[in-house]
Amino acid sequence: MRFTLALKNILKSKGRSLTTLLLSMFTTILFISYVALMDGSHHQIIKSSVEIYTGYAHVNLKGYRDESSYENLIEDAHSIDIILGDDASIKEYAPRFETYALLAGDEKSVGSMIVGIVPSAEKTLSKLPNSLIKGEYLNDNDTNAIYIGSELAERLKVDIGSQVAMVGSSIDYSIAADLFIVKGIFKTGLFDFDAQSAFVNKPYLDTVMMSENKATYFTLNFHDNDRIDQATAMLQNKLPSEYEAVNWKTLLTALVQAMLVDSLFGYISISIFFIVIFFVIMIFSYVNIYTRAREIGLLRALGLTSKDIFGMLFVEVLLLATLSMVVGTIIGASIAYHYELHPIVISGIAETYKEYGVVSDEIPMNFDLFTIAWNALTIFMLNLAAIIYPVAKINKLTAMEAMRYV
Amino acid sequence: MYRHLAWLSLWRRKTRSLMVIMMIALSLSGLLGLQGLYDGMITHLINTTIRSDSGEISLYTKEYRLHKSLDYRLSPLSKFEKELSRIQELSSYSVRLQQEGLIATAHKSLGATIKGISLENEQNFGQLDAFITEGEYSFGKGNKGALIGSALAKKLHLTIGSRVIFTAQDVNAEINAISFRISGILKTGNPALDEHSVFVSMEKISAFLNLKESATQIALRIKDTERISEVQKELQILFPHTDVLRWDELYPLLIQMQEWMNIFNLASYAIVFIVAALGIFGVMLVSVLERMREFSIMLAIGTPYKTVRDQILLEASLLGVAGFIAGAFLGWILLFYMSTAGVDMRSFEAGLELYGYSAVMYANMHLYYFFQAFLAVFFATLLSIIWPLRILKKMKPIQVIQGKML
Repeated sequence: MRFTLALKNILKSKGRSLTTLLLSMFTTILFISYVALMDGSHHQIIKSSVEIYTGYAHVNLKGYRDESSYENLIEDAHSIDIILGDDASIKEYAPRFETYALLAGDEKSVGSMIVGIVPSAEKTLSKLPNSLIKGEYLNDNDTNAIYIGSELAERLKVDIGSQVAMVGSSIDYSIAADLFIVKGIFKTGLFDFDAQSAFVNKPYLDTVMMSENKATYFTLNFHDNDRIDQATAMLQNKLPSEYEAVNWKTLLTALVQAMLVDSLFGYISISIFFIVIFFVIMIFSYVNIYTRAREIGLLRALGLTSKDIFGMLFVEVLLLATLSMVVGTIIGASIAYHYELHPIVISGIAETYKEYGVVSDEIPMNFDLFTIAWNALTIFMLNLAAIIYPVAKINKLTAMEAMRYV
Repeated sequence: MYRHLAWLSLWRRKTRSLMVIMMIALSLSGLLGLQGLYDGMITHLINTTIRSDSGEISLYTKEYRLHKSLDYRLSPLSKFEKELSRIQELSSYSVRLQQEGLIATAHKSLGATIKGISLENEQNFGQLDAFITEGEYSFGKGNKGALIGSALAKKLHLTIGSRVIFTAQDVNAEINAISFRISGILKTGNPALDEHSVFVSMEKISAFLNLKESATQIALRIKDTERISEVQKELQILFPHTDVLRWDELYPLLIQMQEWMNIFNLASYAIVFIVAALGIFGVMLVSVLERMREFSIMLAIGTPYKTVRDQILLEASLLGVAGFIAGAFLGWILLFYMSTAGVDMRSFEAGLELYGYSAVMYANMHLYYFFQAFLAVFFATLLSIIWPLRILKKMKPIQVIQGKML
């Protein structure tokens, strides 16, 4: 009976019901799309940073992240290589030797990050080979060939075939100097990275830096990077106690925090919208209930308890909220799914926000069922919460008071 | 009379009116708080950039910003200083000479920029001394000390008294090195300075780079910020072969962020108050519908339609004004708190610093926020009564009195 009564009441005040329905639906769509866009852009920034160079996880000597100096190198890279090779959860891995040195062209010098890499391994571990824009990528037999960032090449005024001098210090702190020929130029879109980084075949750089069988860290990808916390913890158990396995959440703490703050402000902004929606639904429910005060009074006089009245009004809002949630979620989820596959393109945004780690003009949405579910449920609960006060207020009236209500 | 009627009608249904007032007040105070906070964040970025680097206007040689080479330097300095001393609109200026290179400790090296400055000039220019977080604002005896950006100091594990060696090419493309002791650590909030810069005395760097009477940048502070464009034109005439650039031309991202923020604020106001208008509409519609007989009698006894219309308008306006006053008051309290005590976000410090934001954020408070908010409430109120007035206009008073039409 409750259901029939509720349905009749909904249909009786079509205008108000439709407005409430549309408002809730619109809010559900807006919330799902807003969060999908916010999460999508954050995921893209983090994914770019992880996949372009950093990698999903590192193995390094404990203390290296606090003081990334030669004092904290992996002294026996071969032993770590064996451990990582035996771990079935690891998809691919490679050692890197990172150092800083002065790179000098004919006219200009710049302090840069020089990294010794295993060129063939980086093909799957990072986006370095794919970011080639000029010349050639390194190979495992290269000697004094250097692969440098596009911004760095511009700063040094060098091009393919140009000679670049490197002056740095080897791991025994003696001066390490060599001449390199620019073999390739890359552009990842990460502005700072392209402006400061250069890569050399590791076995050759090791001869210059006296770092044979040494590495600053190993970078690696797991088969299942979605369960990276568990995978990192399991790897940690296999490593000797002086080494640590850390994943991108720790490696990119500042970036993760920045995205968290951005999300926080995003939620605060949209919560103001929720306040208004909450009040509008409450006002509509209040008006709707009070225009039926006499009818409610009559029902009470006929023997219905305040619990029954609450049940009847609750079913009304439940029907409207459920319908708006279902339709809103389907539309919102479809939008999120569509724009995850076909991201929104804002021309020039990558150039404008390059210093903020934006590498592409494409802004994808993030289609995540769990997120969509809690977004939709939030609006659903908001709808239900909005009728508590109006229903409680009308239930305070006695049958006679309600029937006399003008 | 209609004023009195409007007032009485409004309080006939207290709960309904209070709901509308609360809806406007809460959403308005939230919007005011967010607007002030976002505005404060961007203003902080702009201020620290102007104070620590660009001034309101900066002078460079035409090619310097593209090549960052000492070949493109401002020289002789005396010529520039002579002309600048004649310009009344300038409050101060700072002459800087910078070169990129490699900074090294005994254990680690990083790419960095060395900047030659005059401590006294920088103090007058942007109170650089106020950014000191450790040590003192001094280059020590014989100018052998250096000030260093906080993030760079952290990466190199430098403390006061630590020795660093800076290696760079001089004007003749010879690679030279110079040693300094850290006398102070600066935290400006400008990531380019905090992460990459070392400040040394102008005399010391000039000797190191084999230069005399030279600078790479002259940054200017203007007394009246309303006259920046005029001063820019005047300077361009004085120095036709020099780039004379305003801060917003040097940092277009900041102005773009400010524009995005303004668009975001306007969009938020529009969305929130269109929905709020629906809430007011709900109340006004019911309020009109339940008094149709009352209005019909008024019209039948000769009350002009204009009087009835004004009564409805006044009722809605009173609701809007009451909501605005309550919202503006709450918003003012919120803004006052956030502009004096600040919002402590130190738990997200690393993320915020990554983009140059302060960990304790201070809101701005401007009169125009409240004016903008008033306009939004005003339009929402007007929008909400269009439909109820239309119903009233179409109503046939005699039929309504006879109960034939409602």
